[in-house]
Amino acid sequence: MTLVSVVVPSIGSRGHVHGSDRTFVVESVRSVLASADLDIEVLIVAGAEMPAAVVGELRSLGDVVRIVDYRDSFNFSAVVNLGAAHARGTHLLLLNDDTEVITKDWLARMVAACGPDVGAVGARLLFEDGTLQHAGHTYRSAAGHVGFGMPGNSVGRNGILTRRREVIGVTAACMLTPFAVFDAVGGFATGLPGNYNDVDYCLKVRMAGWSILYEPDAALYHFESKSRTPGIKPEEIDFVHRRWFTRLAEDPFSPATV
Amino acid sequence: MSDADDDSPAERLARWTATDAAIGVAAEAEQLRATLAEREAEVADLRARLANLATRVGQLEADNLALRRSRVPMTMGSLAYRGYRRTRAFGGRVLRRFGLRG
Repeated sequence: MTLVSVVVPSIGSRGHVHGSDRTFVVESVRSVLASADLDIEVLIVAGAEMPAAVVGELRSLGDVVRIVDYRDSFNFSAVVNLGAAHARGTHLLLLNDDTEVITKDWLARMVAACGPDVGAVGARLLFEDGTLQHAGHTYRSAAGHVGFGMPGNSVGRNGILTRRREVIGVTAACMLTPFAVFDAVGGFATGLPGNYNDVDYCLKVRMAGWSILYEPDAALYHFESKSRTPGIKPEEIDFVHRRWFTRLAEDPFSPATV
Repeated sequence: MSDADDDSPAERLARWTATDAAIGVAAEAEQLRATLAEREAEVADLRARLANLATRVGQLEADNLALRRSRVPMTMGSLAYRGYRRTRAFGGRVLRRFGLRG
């Protein structure tokens, strides 16, 4: 039986979205609980900075919500691994805390896309203004997102943005992966604390023989700033190049133009 | 539910660290093999070009030798014609110098 463990790293940040202030993680989990049409558990991996009031609010959302404390210095990969280490599910759904579900049956669609040969499934993510943030990775020139910044309802060439298709990778902001796959490839690489950890994960998954899919009918808002500077460190670039240089140069799924 | 249900979180984390490191080593080895194959192809290409150049040099040397051997020997007629042309050119220069010719 399918049980999805939703792993949400968070420090309880607040922000202004759709005209009102919100604690991102609380609203994100609320939208997940309201839309989930499968058995789920929600694991909040809480950094030390998370206010006690937010922890209390999260606990009040129901028994399916568990808090896992993370007390080390920031390392996104370590946070994800810690959440996954406490998971009981057959599938992991890695989810950023600054997200909100748009399509009600998003999770069922992602699970349905996740067949036996599939190692990870990514969603269609939109910025607050409705433009496209993610429709799969592209490694054609540099690691980026297909269709980034285009109108959210864009179809793309040959329907590339609106049909389920194989991609080279997907963002960990919203990624479904079978627990067995996560276990087999050793989770996220803690040598990549801030950037490219999803790129590395997807390449490990592909190297092991599973494919990666983009599921456009699973749509969520991702309230990340369009102008976010990722602060990529030279050692992260070096890490990825050492492992994957030739594979990064071979992205058979991304068109030259969308 | 999951395959690794019996493991504690700490055991899972330790296993994943080891697995990731092993996959990393394998991936880096693959990169090195790819780089090595690329360099070997480059060396083979350079060797082929070197062999082509060596063949071309051999051909040119053979052609040169053949040309040297087939050089037409000087005859009295050609020597006389060369002398006539030199004398004529010299005469022209002298006449121009003294303004006797345009």
